[in-house]
Amino acid sequence: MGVVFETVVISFGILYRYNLFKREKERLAFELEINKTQTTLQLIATQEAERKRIAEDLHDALGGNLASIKMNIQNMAPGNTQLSTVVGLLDKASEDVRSISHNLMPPEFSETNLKDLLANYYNQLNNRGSVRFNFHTSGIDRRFNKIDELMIYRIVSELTNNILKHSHATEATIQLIYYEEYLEIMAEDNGVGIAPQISDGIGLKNIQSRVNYLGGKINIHSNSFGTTIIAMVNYKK
Amino acid sequence: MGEKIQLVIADDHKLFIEGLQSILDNHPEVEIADIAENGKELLEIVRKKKPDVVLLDINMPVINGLEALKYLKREFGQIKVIMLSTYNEEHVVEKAKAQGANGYLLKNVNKADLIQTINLVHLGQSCFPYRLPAKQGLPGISDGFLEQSNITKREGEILQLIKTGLTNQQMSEQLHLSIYTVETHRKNIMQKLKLRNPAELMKFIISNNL
Repeated sequence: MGVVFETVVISFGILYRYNLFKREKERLAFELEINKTQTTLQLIATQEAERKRIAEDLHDALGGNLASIKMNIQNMAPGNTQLSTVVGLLDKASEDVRSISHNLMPPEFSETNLKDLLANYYNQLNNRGSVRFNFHTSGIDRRFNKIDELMIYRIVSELTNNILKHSHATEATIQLIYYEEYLEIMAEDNGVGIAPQISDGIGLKNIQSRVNYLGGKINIHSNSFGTTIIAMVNYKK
Repeated sequence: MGEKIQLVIADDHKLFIEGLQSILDNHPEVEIADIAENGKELLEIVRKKKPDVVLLDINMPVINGLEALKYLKREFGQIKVIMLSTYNEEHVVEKAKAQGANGYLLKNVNKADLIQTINLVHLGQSCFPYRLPAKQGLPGISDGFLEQSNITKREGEILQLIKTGLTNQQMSEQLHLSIYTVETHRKNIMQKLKLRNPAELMKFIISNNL
């Protein structure tokens, strides 16, 4: 009798301890999840701050110096053909610096709304590129904070880079449609489709991880007639 | 003396200023009255020298160019201001324009363009970088209404196929799209045209004679 009683008491004791451990484990898992999110956020913020700094240094320091060199050279020997070749090279270098730094961080990002930035981005691409981009937005924008907007900008420009680099498309349509509860990003091109070895490439992974970070989902459909990528991102409550 | 355009340059880039100086040195029409290294210094100089034209770098320490522009235009409205920038971005140019700049030059400008711009702005003209007109209609569909509703070329095609009574499945085969893509297009069309259900969409297609 005494043994049975003892066993029952010990069993209860063990069950109690077990439940305690279980709760503790769940709490820790939850905290870990929060920590992970915070670390990702910090990582992204640090990375973006660094990009901004490099972009500005490139643009202002190197870009400024190139412009100064040109300004100084122009007055040396007017009409000298060798010098005008050098001036041409300087113009090319300035243009390269500009596009590299803008890819790192679009200028005046924090002061400009996403629609205008992207409209400008596609205007410039259409003025020089081989792909004709049609950019559409509809609905009420400015529903995201600036960090999230930057994330969306990166998703869209990564989608665009993929089209430019790999699709062999002649035409593409990029849309941002602001619904009541979410933003839909749609990118369509008339290219040759995503090659199987690229379908898990870095570009798509980057897009995927940014969409994940925003708590959104993404759908990719691709065949030899073109590629359609649709991402949906909920607004934060 | 007195005949030349009095110019004040505001830029914190020494090498660039030297370049400008070498170009404008002994120029028959333009004379550098003074040089400021930041926005704060510029306001003091302008107050003293009352120049005709200011060449103003957008990117400057203490008070940046666009801020300085605002002050200049508020306090010395008659002074012409040409912004200098390494930025060729439309929204930066637009911002400068909105805050009252009379001209906008990229820093890698040619000598001749620089002098021409100073002259034109001094005469009261505006000089901003030329932009290609961006807007283009939808090829194939010239319906102004659809264009206004922001309907894309593909969405226009989908509307046509809906009209012929095709199912999503048939449309996806004909257009080589996934069913999900077709459904998304339909959803987007409804959103853009502010329609609530397929019946309203059909009514819309018929009554607008698409």
